[in-house]
Amino acid sequence: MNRKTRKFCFLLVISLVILVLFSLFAILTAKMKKNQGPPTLRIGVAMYSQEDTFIRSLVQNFEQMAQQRESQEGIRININLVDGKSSQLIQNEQIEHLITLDYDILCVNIVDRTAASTLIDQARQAEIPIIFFNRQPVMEDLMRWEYAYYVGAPAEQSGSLQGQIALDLWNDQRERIDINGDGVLQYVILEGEPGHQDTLIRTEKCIQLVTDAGVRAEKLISDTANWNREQAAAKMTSWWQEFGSQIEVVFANNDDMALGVLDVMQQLQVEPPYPVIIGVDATSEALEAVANGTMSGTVLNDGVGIAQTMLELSLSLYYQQDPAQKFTIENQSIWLPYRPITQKEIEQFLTQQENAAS
Amino acid sequence: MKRKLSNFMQLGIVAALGISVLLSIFIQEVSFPTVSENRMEISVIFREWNSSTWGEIRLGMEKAASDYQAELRFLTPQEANSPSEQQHLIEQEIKNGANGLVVIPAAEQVLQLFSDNKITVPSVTIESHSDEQIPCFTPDSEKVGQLLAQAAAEDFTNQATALLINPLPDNTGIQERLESVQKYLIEDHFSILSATSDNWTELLPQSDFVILPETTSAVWLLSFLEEEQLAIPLYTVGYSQEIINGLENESIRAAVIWNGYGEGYLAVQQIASKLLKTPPPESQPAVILVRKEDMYEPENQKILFPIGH
Amino acid sequence: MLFKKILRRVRQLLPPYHGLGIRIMISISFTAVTVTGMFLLCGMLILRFSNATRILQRDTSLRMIEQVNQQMDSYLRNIMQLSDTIYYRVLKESDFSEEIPYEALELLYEENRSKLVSISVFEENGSLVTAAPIYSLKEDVSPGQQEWFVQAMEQIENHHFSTPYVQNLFSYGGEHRWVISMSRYVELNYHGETKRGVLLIDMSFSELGQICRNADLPGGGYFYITDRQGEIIYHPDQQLIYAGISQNNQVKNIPDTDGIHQVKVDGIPYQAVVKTVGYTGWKLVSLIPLKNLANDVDQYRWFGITLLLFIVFSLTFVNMHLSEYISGPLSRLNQAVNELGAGKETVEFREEGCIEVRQLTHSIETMVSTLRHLMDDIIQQEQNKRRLEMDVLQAQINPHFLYNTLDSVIWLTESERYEDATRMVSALGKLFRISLSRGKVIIPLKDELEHARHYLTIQQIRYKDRYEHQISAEPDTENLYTLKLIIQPILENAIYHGLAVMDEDGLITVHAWRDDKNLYIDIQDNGAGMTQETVDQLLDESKPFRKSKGSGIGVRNIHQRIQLAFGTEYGLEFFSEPDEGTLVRARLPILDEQAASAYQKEGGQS
Repeated sequence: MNRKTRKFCFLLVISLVILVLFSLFAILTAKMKKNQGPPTLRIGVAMYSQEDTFIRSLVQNFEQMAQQRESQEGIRININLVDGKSSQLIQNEQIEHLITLDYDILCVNIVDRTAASTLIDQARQAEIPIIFFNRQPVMEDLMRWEYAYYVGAPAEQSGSLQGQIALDLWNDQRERIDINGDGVLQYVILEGEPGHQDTLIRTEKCIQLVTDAGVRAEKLISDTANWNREQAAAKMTSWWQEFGSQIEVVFANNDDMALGVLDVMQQLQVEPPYPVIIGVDATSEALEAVANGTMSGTVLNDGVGIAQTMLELSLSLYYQQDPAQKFTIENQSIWLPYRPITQKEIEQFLTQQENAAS
Repeated sequence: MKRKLSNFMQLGIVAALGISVLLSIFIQEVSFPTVSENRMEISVIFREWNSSTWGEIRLGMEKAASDYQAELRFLTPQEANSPSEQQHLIEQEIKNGANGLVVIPAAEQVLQLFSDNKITVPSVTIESHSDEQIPCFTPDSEKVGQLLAQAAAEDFTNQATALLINPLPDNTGIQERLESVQKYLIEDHFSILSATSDNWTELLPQSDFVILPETTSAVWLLSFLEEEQLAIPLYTVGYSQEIINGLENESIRAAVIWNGYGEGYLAVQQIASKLLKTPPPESQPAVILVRKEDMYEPENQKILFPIGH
Repeated sequence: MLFKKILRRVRQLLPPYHGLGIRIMISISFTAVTVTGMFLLCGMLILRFSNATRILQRDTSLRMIEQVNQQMDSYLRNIMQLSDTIYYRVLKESDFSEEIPYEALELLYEENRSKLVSISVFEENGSLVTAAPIYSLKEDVSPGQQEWFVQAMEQIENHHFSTPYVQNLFSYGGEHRWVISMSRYVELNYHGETKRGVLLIDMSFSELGQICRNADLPGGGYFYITDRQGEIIYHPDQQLIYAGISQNNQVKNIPDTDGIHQVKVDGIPYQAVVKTVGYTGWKLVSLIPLKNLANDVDQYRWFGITLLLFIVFSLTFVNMHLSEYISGPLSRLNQAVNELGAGKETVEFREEGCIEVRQLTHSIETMVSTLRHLMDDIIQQEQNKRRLEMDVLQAQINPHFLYNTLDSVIWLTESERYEDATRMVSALGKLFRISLSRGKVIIPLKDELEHARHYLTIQQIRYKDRYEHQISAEPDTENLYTLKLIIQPILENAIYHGLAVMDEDGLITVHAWRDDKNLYIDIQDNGAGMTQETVDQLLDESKPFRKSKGSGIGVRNIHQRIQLAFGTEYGLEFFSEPDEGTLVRARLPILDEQAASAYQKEGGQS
């Protein structure tokens, strides 16, 4: 009896040992498969919209840099781009999907900056660091988790820098700008998509800075043109018919609309100097216009810098280093401020770009 | 003795059962892997990156990748159309364990890798055919050439002089298209001038129309022509936004179009189905010749304009 | 019938039921019952589960399609309402010769911006009246030729919905937008003069797709929409279908009628639900692969198999253990008893296993020890019997007796008493024959008396007729049997002790008689007799056996033999008076032939 029991126990033990061996074997083979080749850093990048040329070029830069870093670091960096199509709903689904695919880092160009908290919670649950870029989430949301970061500029800066450009010009070249000489800055604003956060922020901030500096300003009219050059041109045509040279400053929420204004000026064969036209984004066409003086200024969003910082931050999170050693982090954010570009800065800027390219 | 035997038999039965339990666990372990294992990694190596030229292809690839749970790596040589860099990228990707390769070869040199049997993973080329049994998703060069020549023949009498520009002399895909164009134009008795990116400006004034079957250079040529305010009819290929705009403002007389989204989808689907051992797709992207007049024909719309979801 | 046949087959295959040990029986039957139970349970669960999933799936798809249908309906209704608002609130109230109501259109457009691409109004000749947002008409388009325009003009009472197409009226900053158009006939008021016109509302295609995409169908199912002619309006793989890659076979295969259909697309069975969207006649179709949970089900199945195997494994394990626990002690007990039966001297019983088996073991152990005692007794008795018989036999061939007898024969011969010599030798022969009696222990009374007679004859001759003897038997004792060699030793005693002292007139009588129960053999002499003390000592086993002369077989031997053979109520009785003589009475059971042979057998066996 006892011998028998012992035999059975022995058998049981053997079974357990075999079980353990089998599972070890299974895990090992799986590991072997996985460990083929260098380690892989997998980054999921969610764009708010692929239509946005700035974001597109930012991400393109990011991919190029990652490809270069791959060989430097001896790792593989897999990037999965998803396009949120300007819908937070779609973006949420995409991020959920990226999380189920177990990406190492999430980079999110959030559609609706107020929706960050759910994304952060999801990422936190999956313990995947999440980096917001270019579109700034609400600060309180960012502070929810230590592995949620923002890389980019303060959102309101783009507007206030536009205001700064106008203010500088007002102070330096009063006669050129204050055409009617009444000491009041008459302006029009071409707004982007209604309800779009950049539209709201830029529209508000560009003039706030001017008035805060004690300059009297008068808004002749403003309207939305959906970031669109042709719509802007259509709007400007009717405004020009209405106000003509009363318009001293044109604030455009982006460069495309600013260029639409330029198109109108050229089409109507308005004699230069044109009113002061200020855009945002520093697209190549706008830079050209700034260089030849038809546009007074634009605001540069440092896409290359954002891409660079995002990549470095991802790498240090991947290596589990403290990103604070590499970057100055303030409120979970790494600031890459906007830069104003006017005729004064343009040459310097272009040479810089050329240097960077070569 | 008999007792002993039956004891052994019992032990045998219990052991067999125990082992079968473990085996079934093991089989589950092996045949139902979690998401992170068993992911296909397919490397896509462009010859240059230009989102308007290649964006649609890439979207198609991404769609296929998400349909087949593959992960894509998009790689581009730092210097556009650099064959040596591309070779290096391909070798590196294979070494690093890519499961599949999609290559848009910059030059014959890269194709050489395929014929040298250096490519050990399922692969697909786009634009340029390799001689080997590597599937290639690209419109038939012969057909492209024929359509372009045919379009030119419709617009011009055979006294006209055609300028054939080859921006990438090493690129076999482009070369084949040009050869085909040339063949058909000769059939139609056109005078032909051949140029490369070095000497085409000199030959431009002598020609009545230009044929350039490569999208990126065609886009560049378009902006050059616009800047110089030259109105030389251009015949080209591709589905990028600029080409469409060119067609619309008639700076491009006619273009051979196929669906880049489909092309990219098929390429990745081909590799994925090879890796998953399912039957590969058999279709090729449809090729059409489009002019401004028929751009908006319902069937042409479908191929020409991506239907963004 | 078939079932019975199968049962018989199975029974043939199986070893006979009674031939199985407890252990195997318990193992097999327990395992069989539980495993069958488990199989049934699993089967039922799987059946239930798959049924429930199927029903759930059906319900889900029905619910989802209803939901999508409602959304689609409300979306389209919304657009139609918008068109009504535009027509009745804006266009009808405006005088187009004075002012074009752009602002109002713009406002309505802005309100529905997410759904719309543009709102535009055309005159009968196809020229643009106004559009919101402001776009300029492309130079070389002729809206009047386009399908939506023609349809609106032909059927003026309807709203017309188009299939998706790329809007080519305006340049949206170089973009080419896929739209679905709604067009309707409108009347435009030019200073009291009514002109015919068309209102065109371009809906954003992607917004429509969003409705279908947001609805999640289980297991890789999806929605698509076609128009009445089967032209695709929305399909998740629309771009691939447009590129001519994805086969849109399903569109052809699926019946037009509303309801649930089972269809095959590319060889894979699908559940298709068709629903017609109100007003437009569009077909909303949901497709769910029937084997949608294939992978999951596989996984469940594997898990079930593993679980089942594990249960079978543990059951077998436990059952074997259990049956071993029950049957092991029993079979060891059996083995011990067998060994005992085979005559092994020391057999060890271990009390183990269940309480019942322990008790059984204990009882058997007790029984065995009792048995062993009894057996020892029997052996002892048997040995005694043998010894006593041996003694008697030895006495028979007592060399003294033989020598004396033969001596007497010699002497008789020498003294030429041939007759006596002959008698003596013949008596001796008969004596020996009877005493051997073919080894029988029980012999007829006749023979025993004969034996006594021969003995007395021999002695009489030897002792020159110093005494007389009479041997008699009652007639009713003739056929009775007795233990052999009980009379002769008593006679010997009587001769040597009783009559030796007498010179003449000695008389020995042997008389056999019986009553209802017993056979008595009385041996009487008229010799010296014994004191009561001596008589008492004769049969007292505690007293040392007084060695007597003669054959040396004491009366005690006879007494014990009788008692061993028949029981303690039988034996010898002495009646003696000094100088008067002695009567020795042997009390024996009544044995007829049958009883004698039974005794004989018993004696022979032991």
